[in-house]
Amino acid sequence: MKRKINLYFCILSVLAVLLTALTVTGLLFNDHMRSIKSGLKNQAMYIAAAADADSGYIARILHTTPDRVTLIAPDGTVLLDSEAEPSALGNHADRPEFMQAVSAGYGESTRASATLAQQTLYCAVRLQDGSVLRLGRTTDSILASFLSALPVLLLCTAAILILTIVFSAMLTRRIVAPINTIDLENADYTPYDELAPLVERIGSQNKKIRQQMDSLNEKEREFTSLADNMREGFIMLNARCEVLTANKSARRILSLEDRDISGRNLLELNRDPELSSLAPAACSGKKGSMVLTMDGRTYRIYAGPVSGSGAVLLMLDSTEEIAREQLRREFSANVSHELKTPLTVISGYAELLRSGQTDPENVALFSEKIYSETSRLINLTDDIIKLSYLDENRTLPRTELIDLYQLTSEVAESLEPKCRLRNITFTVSGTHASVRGLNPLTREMVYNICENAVKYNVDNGRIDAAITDTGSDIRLEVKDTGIGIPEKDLERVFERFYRVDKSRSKASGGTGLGLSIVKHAAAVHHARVKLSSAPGKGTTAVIIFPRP
Amino acid sequence: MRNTFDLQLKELNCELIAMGALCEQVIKGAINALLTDSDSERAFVESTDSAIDSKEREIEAMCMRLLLRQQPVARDLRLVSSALKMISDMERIGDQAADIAQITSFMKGRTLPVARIEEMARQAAAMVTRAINSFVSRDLELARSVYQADDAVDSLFAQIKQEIVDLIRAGHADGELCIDYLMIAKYLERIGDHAVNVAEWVDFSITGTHKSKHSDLKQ
Repeated sequence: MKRKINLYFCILSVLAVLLTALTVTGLLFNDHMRSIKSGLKNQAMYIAAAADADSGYIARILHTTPDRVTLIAPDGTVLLDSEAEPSALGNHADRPEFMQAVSAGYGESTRASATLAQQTLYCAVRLQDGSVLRLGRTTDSILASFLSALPVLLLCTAAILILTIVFSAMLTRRIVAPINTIDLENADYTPYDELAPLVERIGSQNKKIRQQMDSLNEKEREFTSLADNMREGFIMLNARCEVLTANKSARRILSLEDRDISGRNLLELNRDPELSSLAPAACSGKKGSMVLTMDGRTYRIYAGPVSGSGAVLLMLDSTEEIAREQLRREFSANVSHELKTPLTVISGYAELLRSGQTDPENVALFSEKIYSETSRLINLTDDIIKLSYLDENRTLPRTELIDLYQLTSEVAESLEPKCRLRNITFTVSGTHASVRGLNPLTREMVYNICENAVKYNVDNGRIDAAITDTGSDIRLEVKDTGIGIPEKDLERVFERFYRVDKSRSKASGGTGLGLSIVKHAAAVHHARVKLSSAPGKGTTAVIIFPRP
Repeated sequence: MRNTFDLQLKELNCELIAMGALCEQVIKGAINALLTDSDSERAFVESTDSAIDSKEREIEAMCMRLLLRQQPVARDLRLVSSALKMISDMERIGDQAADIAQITSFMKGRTLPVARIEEMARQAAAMVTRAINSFVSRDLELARSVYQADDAVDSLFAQIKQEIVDLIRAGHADGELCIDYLMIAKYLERIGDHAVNVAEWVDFSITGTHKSKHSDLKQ
């Protein structure tokens, strides 16, 4: 803007100088010509008067005046001339000053001379004898006088130009300075009234922009906090598989927690071949999922295209889920195996019986075997049914208050025959405390714990069951003097079909599902089961029930 | 113009990482082929090796295009020129892994009691991974740590060689198998050397001086 103002100022001043110079030159020149013309006319009159009185006068003064003197006969023939031979000059009858003088007594005209720089002024007076006296004076033309003034003019222009530049610079600075100090953030003051609408509009637009920025920031904060609090990793990619946003979990999963990964290519973050083909496929519009194992954890990754271009990756930590799936698969394999073993035995004995060549003695033995295997099968199926019931029902349908002391005593009573066989002492002590539960299930739980205590006890061992009410919860503690559980197996004994000693399964006659049922039943009772054991000395199992 | 250039550099970067990932896979495949003697692993190594070869040609063409059309200078030029060197080392890594896999097919499940070879294979693979990681994150420290790791692999090679010599001397080892094992160990050692070369070029692309220059200066 400053430059433009300066430029206009300069153009304006140069134009002004030129225009003034032209006008003044023109006016002055006009004046000058008029005075020359009147002087020449007067002189012509004087000479004409003198020539009228004395006919030889012209011939005498012919060479004494600086002006050109010509005497022209009435027919236009030049009689005398101060600058040329009259015979060399042609007939002057067609000259305007001559014609005017012949008709009106006086005539004048101005003619440019051979060069443009000069012009000649002619004044003609008719003498009494009819001939015409003409005086001619050659002066500089208007162009020449202008040209002669040109150097001065240019000098003036230059001086004015310099002055203008300085002045306009000062002026523009003066004008612009207050504009630059306008505070557009809160535009309530303007140095020039003309700027008020503009400043006002800028101010309102600024306000609008600020509001929009605020709401955008707010939205982004919301999104970031939402995304950062997600347990799942969330990554947005553009069409070139470069990260646009990645939440905290995603960075944690990729073990790049402390780094800003936006703008980096997915390939720089993880070089897994499956992932590096999944992401571009998602970018080009193909959904997909995969399982990625990193640092011992397993993630399920879902990739989906985003309308427009790019993709979203969702990373779910499914280590436990996949482990559970593995367990379930093992369970079904185990179930089939456990079911098959008794069936094979039954089928074998049944085949022997079918042949009809068995002694009656053996028939009884075989029937006994078949019977025991069948009851084993029934037990197993019962346990599996219980487990699948517990798997499906996480809450108890209807509950009642059960006296835990009484329940334990009943269980102890039912285990009495087994205890007597191996001379195991079973004592129940403690208080009568009630827990909320579903009778067959609660009983099952207590029974399984106590049965294990008997099963894995030594002959002449002891079992002490104690019920205590700690105030915050109710505990059943079953302590035995059995073979105990090695520490590394403590966690795993609750798994289905898990056995510490694989060879003991048949001897003890269990299904391998007892503790698993305890664990699940405890979960639906909102109870916890704690196992502690010292191998060779005994095991202590504690079921901690919440107070009803 | 610059914008396309930047995009092309990024693309080159990605292609190099992808080639590095292929190298990691091919080594893993070769180790699996050695440990499990599985034909599917050998087929995987073979196909990955040819993928590496075609990747090398692709990146080479890309570098040439960049050099001719964009005439990069300074850091960009270093990236392109070190990329050109790196891919030939990575291609050699692929070849050596393929060679290992091929040797394992002659062994027909027989093994020598050379326990350290597995350790050596893991260390060589870790070196390659580390060299590629240093390229990905432009990590000078990581790149230089590869040089040290090479010493460990070299000494493992010497130990394995000694073990094999002892086995031959004891006289109850299959001679053919001994040589196969020695070759595998040598290839692993070479893989380590190539990983060092890659790391040196990473070093060069960051600092502008190649390691050979460093050692010259020291001398």
